[in-house]
Amino acid sequence: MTTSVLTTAPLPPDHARDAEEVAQLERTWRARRGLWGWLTTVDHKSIAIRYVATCMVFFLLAGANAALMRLQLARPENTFIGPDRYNQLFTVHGTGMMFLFAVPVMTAMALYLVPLMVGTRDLAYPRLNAFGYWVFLIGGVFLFVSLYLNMGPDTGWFSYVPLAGPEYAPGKRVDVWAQVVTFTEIAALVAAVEIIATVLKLRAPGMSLNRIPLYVWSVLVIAFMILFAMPTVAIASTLMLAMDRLVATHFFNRAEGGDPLLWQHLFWFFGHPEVYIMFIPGLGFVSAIIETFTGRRIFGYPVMVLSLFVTGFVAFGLWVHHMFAGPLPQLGQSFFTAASVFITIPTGTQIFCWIATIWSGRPRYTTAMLFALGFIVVFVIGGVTGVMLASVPFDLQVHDSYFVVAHFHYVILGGVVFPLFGAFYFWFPKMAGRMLSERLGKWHFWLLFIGTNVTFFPMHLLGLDGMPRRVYTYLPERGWGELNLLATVGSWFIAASVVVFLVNVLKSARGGAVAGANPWGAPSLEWATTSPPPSWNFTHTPVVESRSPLWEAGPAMPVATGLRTDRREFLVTTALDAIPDSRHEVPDESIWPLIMALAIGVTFIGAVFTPWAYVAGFTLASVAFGGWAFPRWSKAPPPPGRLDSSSPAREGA
Amino acid sequence: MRRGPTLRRRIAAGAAALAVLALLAACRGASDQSALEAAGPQAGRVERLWWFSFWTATAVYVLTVAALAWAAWRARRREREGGAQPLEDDRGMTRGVVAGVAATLAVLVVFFFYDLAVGSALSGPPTRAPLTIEVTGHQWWWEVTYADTSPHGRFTTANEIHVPVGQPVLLRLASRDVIHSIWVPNLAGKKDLTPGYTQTIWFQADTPGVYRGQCAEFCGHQHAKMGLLVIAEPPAQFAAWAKHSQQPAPEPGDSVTRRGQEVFLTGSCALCHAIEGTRAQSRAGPSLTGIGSRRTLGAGTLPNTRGNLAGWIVDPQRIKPGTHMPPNALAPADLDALLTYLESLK
Amino acid sequence: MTGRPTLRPTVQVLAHTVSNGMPQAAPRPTRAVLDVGDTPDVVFGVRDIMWWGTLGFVVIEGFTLAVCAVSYVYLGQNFPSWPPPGTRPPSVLVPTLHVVLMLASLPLMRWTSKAAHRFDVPKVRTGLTIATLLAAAFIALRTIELLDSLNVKWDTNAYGSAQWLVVGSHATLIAIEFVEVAGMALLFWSSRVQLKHLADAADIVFYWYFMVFGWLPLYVLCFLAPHWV
Repeated sequence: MTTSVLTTAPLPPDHARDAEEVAQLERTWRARRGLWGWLTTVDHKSIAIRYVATCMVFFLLAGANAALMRLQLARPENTFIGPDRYNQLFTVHGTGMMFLFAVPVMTAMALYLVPLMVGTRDLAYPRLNAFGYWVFLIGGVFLFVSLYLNMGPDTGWFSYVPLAGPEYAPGKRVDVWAQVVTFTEIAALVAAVEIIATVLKLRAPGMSLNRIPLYVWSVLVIAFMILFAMPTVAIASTLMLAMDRLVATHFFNRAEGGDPLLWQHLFWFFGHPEVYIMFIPGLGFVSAIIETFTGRRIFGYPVMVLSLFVTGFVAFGLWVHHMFAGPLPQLGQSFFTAASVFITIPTGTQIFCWIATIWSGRPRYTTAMLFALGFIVVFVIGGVTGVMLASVPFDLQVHDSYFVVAHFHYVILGGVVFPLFGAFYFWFPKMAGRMLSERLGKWHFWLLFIGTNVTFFPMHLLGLDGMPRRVYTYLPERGWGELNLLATVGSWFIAASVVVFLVNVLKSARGGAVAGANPWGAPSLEWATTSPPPSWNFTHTPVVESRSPLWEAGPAMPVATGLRTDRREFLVTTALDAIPDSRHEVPDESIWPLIMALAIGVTFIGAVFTPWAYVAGFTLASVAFGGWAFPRWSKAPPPPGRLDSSSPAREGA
Repeated sequence: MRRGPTLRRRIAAGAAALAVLALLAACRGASDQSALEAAGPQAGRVERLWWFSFWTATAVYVLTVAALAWAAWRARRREREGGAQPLEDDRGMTRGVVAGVAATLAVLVVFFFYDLAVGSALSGPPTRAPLTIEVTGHQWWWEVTYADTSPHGRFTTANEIHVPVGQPVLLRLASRDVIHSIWVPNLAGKKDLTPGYTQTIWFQADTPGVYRGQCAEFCGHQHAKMGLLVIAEPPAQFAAWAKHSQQPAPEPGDSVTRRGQEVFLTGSCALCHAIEGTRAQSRAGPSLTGIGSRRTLGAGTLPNTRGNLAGWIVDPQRIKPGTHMPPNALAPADLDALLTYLESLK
Repeated sequence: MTGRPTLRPTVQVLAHTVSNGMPQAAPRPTRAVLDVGDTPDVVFGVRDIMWWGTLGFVVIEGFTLAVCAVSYVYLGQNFPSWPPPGTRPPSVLVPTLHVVLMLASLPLMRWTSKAAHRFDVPKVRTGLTIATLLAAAFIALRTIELLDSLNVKWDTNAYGSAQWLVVGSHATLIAIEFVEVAGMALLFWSSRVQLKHLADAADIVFYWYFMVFGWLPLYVLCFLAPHWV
């Protein structure tokens, strides 16, 4: 088959032809309206925006849990919440934040941004993407409904056995937890496959590897990490723990040769990379923001990319540092200490490169930039306590105490939440076509910054002074009352900051200043199209000639012509140099992803109660698969004299 | 456009930070359950490591944030002076980044080797023959057995570990149900009690005192109230206590006490609680031999007073909801006798 | 390209428009430098975007099987012998038959894949039909392996649980492949088969290879190793 042809001379702009093309694209890519349209859309932008919004709802719900926990802990021997309810609250807080907020919001932002940043029309598998969202939604609703029905999981987000096993956790609470993990794990794997395929095969012509934006590299790294981390927790929870509880397998039953330590190994082999999966896209956000608001490329691009990969890779070698107090041979522990200490080097390198970028650029302190800088100021505190925790003797003192709670909230708030809010302020104009209020944004930032420090800094001392984690109350003689009260007050600042943000979003979504295509003067491809982008993202596929296309391209953007506008299709390019190679038809709206997700929902929610759910579920899923894969004739015939992928395959062709 | 960080702002930030640290220093927890009040060499080594880490980390943090602020200030100055935008100084910037990374690496290497040294000092076996104590974790109390080669020497108590000052103590850790973790921060780091595994931890108390610990691995409803006391006493005092504890419980001396013993043995108490020297030998709940001289009830939850004991016996669920001990409705005279009996078990 | 973001007029205008109330800025005009109209839309293997999805699934499932196998080995250290005393080792007749049949299927699948590359619809149809029958046979054999050859139930002890975990996880691969192959065979018998389905058929063969080669080490681990250890 012939490859693409470079025209000998650029065609002059033809506005009449362009307008007709846009009209044709409008017809071909038009989204369906109403509820049916909402349920069947496969547009990555619609799906991603609702995905992000859903994650923020879970953030609010899990955050409400935390607010209640803080109220209970504000005074010694408080009777606001009893132990049973408290155990559910902290378990669902952790589970919700980790599985339903931190990772999915990062993948959801990637699902929105990646096709736009690499210059293509949609993700590689649009229907799969829709399926991933629905499965995620079902899992999240399942968790919180269970909590509100007093059936919430109550053995911690890490659910150690034997406490979470059939003998010590009767009832269905832990089964709910195990299956929530299943749903979120499927959704994460879907997102990972989408990101990898899109980044490797759908980049705009000319976007060779060394021209890929740093943010895109960061989500590519976590996509690979997800492929290895998620299956591990799925085996542990969906298979082993659920089976121990449901059909009396003995994976963790010491009496029959099982091993509670196996759970810890599997869970933390997932759990440690999980926190880097949340954090590494934050690094990508910070790079994108600092680049734009200093007006220069991030210094040290190759080293920045290498740092992302090294961090992601080494993250898989740390997990035993969660188990230092357990019955493991001491010999291997030093290896994990070393890995946990030296993993800071790549991140430190990134911070120094950002500082160099700021030094040599022209910084503008928009809200997004404040959040990016706030990342450095907050995260590094968590980073240094992380290095301390890598030490076995020190960890044995503060493991499972409030010192650890302080550490991980600093790295999560600093490394995930601050960059995420920065990203919201940065990309909201692109998503909604409106600017968020900078004034409210500054309030949001400072309230969150103060709240984070007032809530979590005292916890370092609480941990050193002996306060363990996961306690619903404490005795007055311990002397922990003042610092707990201070932390509770701090939590109100955090809550206030979130309220300010919500007000900002609601006000600005309709009433904010209209954003143009590129209100920030940013360099990457998503800013080359309108705000919000049309369903087809780019009227013409961009052609990339540098790492910062919008800064280097000149008054007219180079583009590629030739993609059909009478049917939905995108361009597939080679993995290394992004040379145009083939094209692929993009599917229309479909209800089958939702139906498949419901089949999965029936399977795994049913599996809480009976193993036969797997049989029923498999059958339903096969039926849904049939509907999904059932071929439809394309509405647009192939060009004259040519066949296309949806032409009938006749014998003797 | 907002202005970048100014000098005044930086001074304000520094002052705020100092105020915060002063405030925190004033809000310390009780000194009998703190890793910052080491009473033995194990905790002492870790405390020193902590202070080294704290000051090093503070320096690293301050330098990093200062570098960021300085970079922003220089960029601002260059913009005001109309300098090159952006400044192309790849060589200078490379050197800066390399210097930063090298400095970070140096700090980490020093920390790593110091930590290895501390770890290796702590992981060696006791220098002298240790006193061996078996600790078994239960939901939500600690079974403490003083091991001895002779059958008369072994005795079991609960939630209190007496140790002699200045002698190494080796704890053999096991669990009867779920994973627990024993943490007495004044004395040592923690170790898990994992069912199916035996772990050991040793420490030495160099200062006499009463040190509190708590379970540090979430173990269910009353994880929060699974405390214990380590009572470090001079060796002579410890020896006397141990000798006394090896004896079976004293026989009741008067009718009220005798009645109390009867209530204990014929009621539901004996189904779970053992008292050496009587026919109550169940290991399901904490042994009550010597309960009269224990300082707390409910695994460090309440001071051991007659009133608290009464409240605990009548309705433990009110104090530790979810605990495995059921409420006991007793006639007032029976309760009174029982209390007198239990108080007599010193 | 030095990498210096020089300020063009459009960018300069935008650079000053921060915080509230900026003017509408439309996307820049474009100039066509490339035409991709002649790119094909049915391609195979690494060039086919659907193949990458299959590859993703292969990596995920492959790693899943690896973790199951590692857990199996991990649990082995809790027993003095494997299988533990009192549990019979698995019988190898049916499993070996199964492996032989799987290996025998490989040339057929390769032939099918090559036919797909050549757009030879009848041959692909034949290959997929035979593959469907083979996959059904695999399901039957796997059922026998689980219920009979293993000689242990999942709830007997951790050894039994581990065996069922590994063999059962791989069974899901067979089940999925059966649904795919049967569905695709049906499609090739109908008039609705399209050119792109030839690339999908080649993908199915790729997954078939994974199903077979992924099983070989597990067969050794689950059915042979208990006789040697």
